[in-house]
Amino acid sequence: MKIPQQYRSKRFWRETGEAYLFLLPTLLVLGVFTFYPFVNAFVYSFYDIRTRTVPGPLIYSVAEEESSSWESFLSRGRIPPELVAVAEKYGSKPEDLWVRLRQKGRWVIKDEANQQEYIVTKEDGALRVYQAKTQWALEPVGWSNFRQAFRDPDFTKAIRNTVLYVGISVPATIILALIIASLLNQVMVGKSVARLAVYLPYITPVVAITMVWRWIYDRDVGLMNYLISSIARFFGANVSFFDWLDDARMALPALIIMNVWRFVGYQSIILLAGMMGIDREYYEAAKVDGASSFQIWRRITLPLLTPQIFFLAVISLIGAFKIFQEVLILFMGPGPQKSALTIVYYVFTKAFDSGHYGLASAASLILFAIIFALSLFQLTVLQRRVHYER
Amino acid sequence: MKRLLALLLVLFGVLAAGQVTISFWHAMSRAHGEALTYLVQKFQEENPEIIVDLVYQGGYGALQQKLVAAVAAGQPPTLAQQYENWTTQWLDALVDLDLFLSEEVLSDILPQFYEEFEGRIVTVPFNKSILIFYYRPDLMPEPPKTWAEFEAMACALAKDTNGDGQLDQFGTAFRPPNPEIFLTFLTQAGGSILSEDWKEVTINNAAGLEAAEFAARLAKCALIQSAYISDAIAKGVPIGGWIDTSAGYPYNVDAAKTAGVPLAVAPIPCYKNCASMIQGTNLAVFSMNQSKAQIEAAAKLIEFLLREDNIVYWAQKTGYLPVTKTAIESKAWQEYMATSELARITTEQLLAGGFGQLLHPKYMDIRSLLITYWELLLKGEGEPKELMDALAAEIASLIAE
Repeated sequence: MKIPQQYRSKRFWRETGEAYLFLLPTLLVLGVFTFYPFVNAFVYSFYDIRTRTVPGPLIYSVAEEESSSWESFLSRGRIPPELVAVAEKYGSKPEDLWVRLRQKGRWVIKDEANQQEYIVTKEDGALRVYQAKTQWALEPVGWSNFRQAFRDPDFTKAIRNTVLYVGISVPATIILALIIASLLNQVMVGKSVARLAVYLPYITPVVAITMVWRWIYDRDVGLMNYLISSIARFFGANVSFFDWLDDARMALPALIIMNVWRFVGYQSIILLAGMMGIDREYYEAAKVDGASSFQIWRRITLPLLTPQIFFLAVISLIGAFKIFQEVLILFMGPGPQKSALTIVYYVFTKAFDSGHYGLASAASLILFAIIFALSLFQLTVLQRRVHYER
Repeated sequence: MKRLLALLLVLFGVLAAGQVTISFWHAMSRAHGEALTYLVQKFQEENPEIIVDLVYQGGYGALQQKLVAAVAAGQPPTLAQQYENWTTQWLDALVDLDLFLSEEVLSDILPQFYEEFEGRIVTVPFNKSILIFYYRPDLMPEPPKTWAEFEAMACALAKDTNGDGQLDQFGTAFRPPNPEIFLTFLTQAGGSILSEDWKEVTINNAAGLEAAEFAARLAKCALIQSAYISDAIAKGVPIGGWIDTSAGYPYNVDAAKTAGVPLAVAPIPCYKNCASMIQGTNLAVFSMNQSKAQIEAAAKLIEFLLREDNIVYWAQKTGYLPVTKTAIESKAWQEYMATSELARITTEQLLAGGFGQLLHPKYMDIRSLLITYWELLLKGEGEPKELMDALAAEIASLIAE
């Protein structure tokens, strides 16, 4: 086999080694906090997971005539002498053994010195002794967690809500950001202040923002209802107050409005930077040719901004699919009639409220598959429409 | 000098060898945390051979997540506060407390708090609260004593004062995320979620329907909001009276002060009985990665916390319920009840019909369904019978899985 020339050079290997050395801290962080949990979530999605005392090898079968004596000892929390003798064969000392669990037909004896356990179970009327271990045990269930997720009306509702949220909030934010960036690009005085003002929501902690929006959306004293009723009164109309946080029809719009406001500043700044990078010669040539301002924006600015728009579409789509904290804080739950239940919120409640870790892992993998497929679509199909300035 | 140092080291070694350290994870903050710290310090003074590493883990959510991670890693604390539905997730990892606590201690626990998980005693009650009735005497001079009085008073108070078609003054208030109020109505009507053997769903029987119809009628005169009722009170929203946990007392009092309105408490209105749901956490001891000496030390701490004087101290400082017979009958508690309206009402309520959570392993999933249908019922999104039947069908399919 012929080894390519570049691989034979010591310098190549030294530089490659140095590069990996620089990458190591990031790889470690990613490995521990991203790749390891991802692989585990994949594995867990095929298991039922809970803490169990799992029987190991059978080490003793109790003779029928001894059974009642064993049960009498164990039910009083004492170790039968025969069991002590059996356990001694497996390295346990009598003084280290104690009963820690007694149930009908099931007893667990702990050997604290060796951190091992013995389980005595009653099977078909006969007592059997196994070596055992209490652990976070994984019981394979095949595709059952995935089937259960798709059968769960809450999960389908979560998918529908999330898709609706992404489908509206992502394009709405980008369109609004385009308008704001175009306006900011025209501002001559106070440009820095204007940029800072639109960027502020993005750098403010989401918890603080959401708490403020809880007040804005308050049914009785909220700013949103006050503004709407003021505008309505101006036009001579009388509108009743919207119950943003407790009406199932208003919850998702409330979430979308808040997050469009939160991200529009960040996206405007990215687009503004893109606009400022467009060669002025294009604009001058268009003006010479007599193009109107809108024509210039439509035919020059917009096409040359497609790399930035594409970038924003990809990252905001991924981010929007993972919406969670805002729901938790804004509604202190999944929203009225679960109208703001999103996929990540579903995953969170299944794992931490109900203890269905396998189901939660399966749901998170489904979310991963959705995001992966859409990102792939964006990177293959949509990217063809991106114009890179050359 | 060297000899002295060596002597000190030997002495320290001898002392340390006799000591056992246990960890106790909890979620008690502010005044509750201070009361717990005081009790643990007192315990350590009485038991210098035991060192308690008392660790505040944040709110209940944070404590639960940390316990999940710790159990998964095989490194849980010796002792921890936990709700029943957490306990069912790691039942095998817990120690049977009746093997370590004396019969005298266990039999002293009030029957309202006694819980068995799959025939095992793995928890003892710790910080327990109960649903009581809060009311504004300026709107509701006397608290209702029965369902009929409650409905009549609440619906007489409900008004649309500005004529916009929506209520501005409410007779009562309900929170959809809090189905414990429905469970209280259900129990008061003589119903239950499941039959005693858990094989049959009984929530949609005659009693269930009665409870649902009562709640649906009340809901028409009520403020329905997911936020705490105290938030509405603080904003000055007029509400006659509402059912809430006794643990919410400080928040409701603060809200009433903010709004400048009077507030009083009473037992909740009764129907066929005066049942009221108990909430709050228990204490459980983990066996994973613990020695017998640590388990025994944790059991000693539990016995200390369940001692009459300590329970009374804990209940007085925190507003939680005394959980043992001797504490509730003690002179100190009786005297305290004479001075504290909250203590008197919660004790009366507990003795009149306190009941705990269904200890079914799928209770959290059942509760999630209860929240869904409780909200639909409160918002009038369906007839009570139709909703109860649909709820029963979903619970049946859940427990059959």
